[in-house]
Amino acid sequence: MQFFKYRWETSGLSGEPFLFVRKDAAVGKVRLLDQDIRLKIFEKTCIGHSRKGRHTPCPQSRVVSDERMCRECMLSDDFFMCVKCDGSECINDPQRTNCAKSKYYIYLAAFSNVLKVGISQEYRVLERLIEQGADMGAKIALVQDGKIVREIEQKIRSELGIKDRLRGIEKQKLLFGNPNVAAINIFNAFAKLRKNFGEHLIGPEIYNLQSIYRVNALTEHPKPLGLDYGTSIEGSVIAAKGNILVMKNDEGLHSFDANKLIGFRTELEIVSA
Amino acid sequence: MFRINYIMLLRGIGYMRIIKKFPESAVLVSKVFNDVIKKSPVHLPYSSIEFHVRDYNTTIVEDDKAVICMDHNSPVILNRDVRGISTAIKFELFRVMLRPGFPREIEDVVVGREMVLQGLGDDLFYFYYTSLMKRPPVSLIDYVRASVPWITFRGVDNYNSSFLKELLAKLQKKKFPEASKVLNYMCNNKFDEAAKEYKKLFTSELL
Repeated sequence: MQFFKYRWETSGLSGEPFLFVRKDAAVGKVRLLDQDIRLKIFEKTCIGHSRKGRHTPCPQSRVVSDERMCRECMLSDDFFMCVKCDGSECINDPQRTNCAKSKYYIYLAAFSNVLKVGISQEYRVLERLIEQGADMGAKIALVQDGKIVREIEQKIRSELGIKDRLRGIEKQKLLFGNPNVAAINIFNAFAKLRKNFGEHLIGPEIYNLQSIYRVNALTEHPKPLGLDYGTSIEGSVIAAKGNILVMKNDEGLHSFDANKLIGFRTELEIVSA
Repeated sequence: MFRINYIMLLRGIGYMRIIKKFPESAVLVSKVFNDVIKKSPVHLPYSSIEFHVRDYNTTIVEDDKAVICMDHNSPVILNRDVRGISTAIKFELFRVMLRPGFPREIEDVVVGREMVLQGLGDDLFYFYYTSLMKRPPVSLIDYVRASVPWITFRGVDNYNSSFLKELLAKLQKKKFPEASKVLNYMCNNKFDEAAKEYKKLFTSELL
């Protein structure tokens, strides 16, 4: 079987993550929290592409290395050309009409003392904050048109001198976020943006997301675990902070980036529920 | 505000003087340059190399001195993309090693192919892919520049070449049939002919 998606299913300020798997033509989802799982990782193959709302498996099942899609699937995917969008010239004409009509939130996400700016479709901003594992998040602006919103996002990033992406390994180091620091950073950033971005800003809605992840159940900092061909992991998933899963076994606590599992062919066994 | 740094690097039996001039905003580029030059396997028979981060790309070689200028508006620099910056610097070091002496876009193919042959194809592909996605071609010279990636990989890595070619076809909003001759020469390693055609094309365009 192959993992092709990792996603949180949320309802307001609660939710839990699932891994989506494909075996031949069948597709299913795997619950992770409170499960004892045994996982063996084999080669990584292309996860296929999306076209007109439909997902198509890779026709060649090509082996890939760093990326999730092979070159052919990248070119066939409806949104591949949007991957590097920064709001400058649009290079994905077929998607432009919908993109221009859609509304997007700009949010600030705090990971302990690290702040990042991001955008999300209007209807899934909370899910977006949770799936990233932010300690705190705030919707700060609502903008129509994906191109404009990306442009504003990049200006905010530059104005605040913050990031617009955080790697899994950085998130693993920031697992135990200090909510006070996170909140102060968001307030300070918002205050700074009032001067030059006032026309776009809304009254910020701030969310404390820490309780969702069960991180307070952890007794020590987990050891980060790399995932690659040949890796075997076994244990009970006891916490999940965005894409970082924490597993407990006889050797202690281990954390790994669930997004890194995507594309890998695996043997997965749920030992007990 | 510009910073100027001097380094003496032991090379073989002598020292090579390195002078770096860059704005405060390009400190990262300077650091990446240090990493690359220290580990570089490229043979650089120069007494000094000047490295500038400024408002355009150029590389000048005069006797035993080389000057490398990188454009601070390059997408990899603007995005603080360490892999991309490192590849761009390696590219320029290969250029000063090979000294092909053609117009820049034609040199890029010669230099890029050598990098692919030296096992740097993945980095180069990443660099080209990132750059293409940021700057779709709008003019004739843009189009020739944007064709360099797929021509570089053509024949040495056809899988990546065809991807880059199709990507360019998706990005391109206007066709430039007048460029086909120079691109054909570049594809077929006829770099002298390509250089003549290039000069004709761009001299007449300027007129």
